[in-house]
Amino acid sequence: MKKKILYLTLLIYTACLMQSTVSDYIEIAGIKPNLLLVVAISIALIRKDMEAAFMGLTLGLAMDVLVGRTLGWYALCLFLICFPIGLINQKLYKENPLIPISFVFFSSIAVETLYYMINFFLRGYQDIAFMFTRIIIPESIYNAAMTLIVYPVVLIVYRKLDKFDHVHTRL
Amino acid sequence: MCWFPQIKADNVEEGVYLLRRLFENKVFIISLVVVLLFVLAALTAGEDSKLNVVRNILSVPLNPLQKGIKTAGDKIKDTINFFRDVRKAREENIELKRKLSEAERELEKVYRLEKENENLKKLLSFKEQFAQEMVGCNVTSIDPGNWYEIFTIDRGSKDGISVNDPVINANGLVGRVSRVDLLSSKVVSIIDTESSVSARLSKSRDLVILRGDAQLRTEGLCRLDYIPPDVEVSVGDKVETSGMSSLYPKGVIIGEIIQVVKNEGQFDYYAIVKPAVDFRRLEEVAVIKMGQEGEGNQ
Repeated sequence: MKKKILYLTLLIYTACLMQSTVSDYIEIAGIKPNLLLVVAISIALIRKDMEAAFMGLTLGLAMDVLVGRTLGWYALCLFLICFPIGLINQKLYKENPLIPISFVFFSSIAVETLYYMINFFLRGYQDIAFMFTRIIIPESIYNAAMTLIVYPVVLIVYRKLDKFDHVHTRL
Repeated sequence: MCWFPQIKADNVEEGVYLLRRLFENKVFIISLVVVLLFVLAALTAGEDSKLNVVRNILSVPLNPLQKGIKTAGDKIKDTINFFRDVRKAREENIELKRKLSEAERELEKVYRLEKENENLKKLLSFKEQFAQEMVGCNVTSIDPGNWYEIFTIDRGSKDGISVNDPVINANGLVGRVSRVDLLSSKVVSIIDTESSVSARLSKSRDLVILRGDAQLRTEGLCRLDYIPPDVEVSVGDKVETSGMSSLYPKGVIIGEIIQVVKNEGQFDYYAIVKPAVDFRRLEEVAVIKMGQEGEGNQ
């Protein structure tokens, strides 16, 4: 259990480090991928509902700290999106790489739209069409592309974790 | 008669059992977490909220690693960009030569004005701005998300930085400190959607408001609002801080106007400003420690 927590903490810290530094260098046309979101959805695809939801919560809180605004909004969005994915993931055929990619794509759209709604739309900014085409959609595409790298890494970490634990990765 | 209900062993057991049932109920847990997150958001919404110390769990261990990766990454980037930079440098050279000759002409005028200014200041015994202490900082990470224009600097409360300290660099105004952690802080730049600066047109001395715009932000620009209709602004006019708010010191260059937008039928109009600072390539900034002076006065 202790080792499991240690490994998961390391995973979260590494993801945060990548998000805050490497994403500066790999941005395309001013758009950065949201690696923490990709990690959260990847975990949601291979773990049970509650575990997935709480990993989403933790990664969301980390993202909130990195972004540097009010704590809790990314955590809320990721918590609410990871739970249903954790519920249905047993029925998915995950050998097909299109499954994680499309899940990341659509959950990115959902999470970022929800985040926009909470932080901008409800405060009276009314440029949703611009935001959607300029930020949300490009970021979701970028996130989906990043899944190809992040998802296998998360799988490797969780296979390691299974050695310490009796819970099995749902593959 | 006993006031409290008798607590029997099976009562306690029943209670524990009910609690356990409750905490096994997923709907209950989810709603509980959602409520807690709303509470957390409400408590941390204020920029100098005490609860912001929880950020240190993440930001303190990340800080040295971020610095290391940033340094290494910049080196690699420089190497890769070397050839492109050479071509750029040639173009820039021509441009700069032209600017230099212009600047020399301007400089003569400035010398004269400086002398004049000095004399006038002596007459008025002007309070010198920038008397506050400045701290040089490195930028360790530029906004990790896509929504804001916030970046991280490698100094925090340990170095005496406090919330709302103005941040400048060699070119002009950068922004203000919005959150302070132990070893690092977050800076909101002036092009962020929620930033607004009380500004002044350098030429005509009119007061205007400079604010970030959600759309212009993506191009590194911001807008100048509330320009009164009787004020003539033109492309190329410089904008500087007014010193009217207690936030920013007076007379710091912000940028220059690149476009004036007039709408038919509207009383006032707005202009688009290109900041003097290039926010995509920020490396070093200086924080003016206003907070310390404020504490000293109390």
